Amino acid sequence: MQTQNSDQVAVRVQILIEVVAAAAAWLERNRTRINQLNVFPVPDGDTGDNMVLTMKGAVDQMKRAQPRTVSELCDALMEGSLNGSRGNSGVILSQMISGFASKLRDAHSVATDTLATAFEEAARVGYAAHSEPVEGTMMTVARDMAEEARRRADAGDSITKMLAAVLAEARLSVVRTQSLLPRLQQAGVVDAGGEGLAVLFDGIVRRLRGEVVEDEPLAEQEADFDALDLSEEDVFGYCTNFILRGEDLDVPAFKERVLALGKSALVVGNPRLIKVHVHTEQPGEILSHALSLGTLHQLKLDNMDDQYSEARQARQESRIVETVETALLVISQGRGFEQIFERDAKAHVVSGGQSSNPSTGDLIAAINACPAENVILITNNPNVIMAAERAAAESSKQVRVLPTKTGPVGVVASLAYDPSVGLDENYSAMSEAVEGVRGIEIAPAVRDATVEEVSVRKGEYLVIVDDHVVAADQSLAAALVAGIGAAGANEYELLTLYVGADASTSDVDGAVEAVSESRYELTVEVHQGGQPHYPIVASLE
Amino acid sequence: MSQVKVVTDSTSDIAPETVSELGIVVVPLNIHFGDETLLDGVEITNQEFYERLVASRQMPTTSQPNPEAFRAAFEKAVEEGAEGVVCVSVSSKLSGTYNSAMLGAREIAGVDVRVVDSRSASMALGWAAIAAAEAARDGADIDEVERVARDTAARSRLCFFADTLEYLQRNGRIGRAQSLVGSVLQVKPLLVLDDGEVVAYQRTRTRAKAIQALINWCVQLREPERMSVVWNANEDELKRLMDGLAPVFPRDQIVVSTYGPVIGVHIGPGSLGVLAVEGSRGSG
Repeated sequence: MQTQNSDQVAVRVQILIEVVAAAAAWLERNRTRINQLNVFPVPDGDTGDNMVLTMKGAVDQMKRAQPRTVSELCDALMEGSLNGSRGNSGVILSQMISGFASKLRDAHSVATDTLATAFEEAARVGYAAHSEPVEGTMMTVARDMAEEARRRADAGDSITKMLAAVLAEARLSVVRTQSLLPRLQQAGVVDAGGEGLAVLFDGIVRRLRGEVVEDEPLAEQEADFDALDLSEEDVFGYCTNFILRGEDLDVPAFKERVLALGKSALVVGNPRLIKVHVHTEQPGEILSHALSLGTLHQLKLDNMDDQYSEARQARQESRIVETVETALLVISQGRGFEQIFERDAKAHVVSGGQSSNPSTGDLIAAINACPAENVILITNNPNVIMAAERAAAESSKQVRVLPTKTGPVGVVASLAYDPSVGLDENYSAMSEAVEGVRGIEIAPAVRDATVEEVSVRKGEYLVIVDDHVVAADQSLAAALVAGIGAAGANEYELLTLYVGADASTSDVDGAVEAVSESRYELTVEVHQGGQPHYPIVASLE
Repeated sequence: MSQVKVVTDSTSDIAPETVSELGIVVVPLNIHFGDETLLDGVEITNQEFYERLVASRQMPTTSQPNPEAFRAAFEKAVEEGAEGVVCVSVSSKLSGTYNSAMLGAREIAGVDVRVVDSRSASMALGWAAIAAAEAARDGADIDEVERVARDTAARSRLCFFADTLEYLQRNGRIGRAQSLVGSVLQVKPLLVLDDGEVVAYQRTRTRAKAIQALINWCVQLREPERMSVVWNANEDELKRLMDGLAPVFPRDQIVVSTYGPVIGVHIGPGSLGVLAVEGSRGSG
């Protein structure tokens, strides 16, 4: 016959309240770290927040309801977490809590079998919560925890042992999420929801062990689990996972041995079973030592160098455009321009321009080296246009020349380039993009002269807009302001300046300041162009 | 009184008059300023939100309604006499709202609830909900209302430009437009929603060109039946866009609205967008 002393019940309820509060507090403490892990299903970085707020809902409701019995407590937990649930991870967590509580609420006593059933129900309801469950998320972690709990209950373990084993399994399962979800591996993180679940359960186990669990956030550097430290520097050797079964195993001694041979070690267990996760260059030594103590199970060895380079290769491949229908070839001068064309427009660059014109032969070779039969060729200098057209005619490929006269205008054209569409479509999109865009060049005069009715003395700055000399001035700043004025700056919104290889920084700063103090309302963008001869070239859009 | 009720979420940006006229039930998403939670459109208006967005140093975040909110909305629809509910949600690729609606539907018995993933957002989703509610008002049964919702959602198109990719990127809603991130030069990216996901459509360098590109996008639409403009930019730019659209669609039929807070969090200020439902001819 079950009789329950009301004092005993009150004590049990009080313990459970403290345990739930500890879970919430430990989660709060790890919140920021969990937020940073989030890459799935969308990298919104708030898994920690969502889980914390969901737990807060549970704790608040529990405190408000002042439950006197375990079933009242469970009801409060279910209601509070459901109402407080936020985000995917929060919703799934609340479902898991409900599942767990639903099995606990009617139990007369808490035995390992009841707990295992509760874990199983939590995992089941968690899976059912998502319309398209994905492996490698908190649902997988919950299921692994439930399976471990069942194994422990069937083996007749004590509650303490069972919970410790479930926690160990949760941590291992979190580590495994990486191998189940390529996105996690690529991002170099474990699943945030899974980690949140493990952290939450860690808080519970800590409280049951008698620790005081506070919600003060962990300092950044101590926030990392050893077992989760899969940072690039650490990826080496073999990721070794196994279970060692034996009699009277000395866990601390074994752990010490493993730690001496590897990094990121997680060694947990009891005298009859030890779980090992370790990164090592000497898996053989660890395994033979383990074999001398007992039998090995669920052995899994992965070469992490392979894993790492595969992940890196996958990352690189994802950056490459799948099919190049039309290639972009750019004649350009200056390291900065070259980088912009290559990075922002995925273009191939032939070096050349003012006083270093590439030959028709150079251009034909460059066209032939392009990875597509269609090629758009941007000239960026009036002096190379003819060679470009010659090369286009001579080449066996389909080539169209976009005869831009300055690098800055060429950049504007290149941003409209789309590798996945055809030649004509690209040509018209790029032509349209540069329509009305003005190119401005400023260079010191090498001698006294009068060009296009502008008189200039040696050393003064000559201002050229779209291949026409429009002004000259002694200072770079005044020359720039005169140039944009002549180009009709009132009609435009964006001035992009490219700084030359031998421009003086203070002169350029002065010129930028002069533009911002001028009467023109322009957004000014400054980049390193690295072009010779011209301290500043620019576009007005 | 119609037998079928239409439920949608607050990212649909449907004007309050239309909501009450058609008896649509709108389930609010949550907006979080730190630990403070506000129900989108209920506890905070568009204007209050944008004022706070500018004033607050902390970036707000958003979260889906929980299943209980949907369950309550479905129950309310039943209490108002509905025998069936069609719930149209924001794209499941952008938010967990669809999932919450599915869970909410599971919690309610005795009423037929159909949940439709619009694979869309803002008024593109709004148009699907409106078309469904109009069908329900005209006496259509639940199968027909659901069909109208799915069909309209499938024909809806959305194109917008953001002043910067920063907000979309920070909130992880950037989808296949990821390729635009990390460029040296500033771009005003023109983006479209393709099968529920944000995809790069065109790179423009200035707002003036972005507006022109938006107009060009509208020109290539196939027989648009409905159109709306959403914005949180300045009024001059709105006018320029509206003038440009005049040859494309009757101006007095274009519904103009501001982006609601949830979309605003993800898109940032200074955005203009066009949402349209294309004609059904030849799409079957």
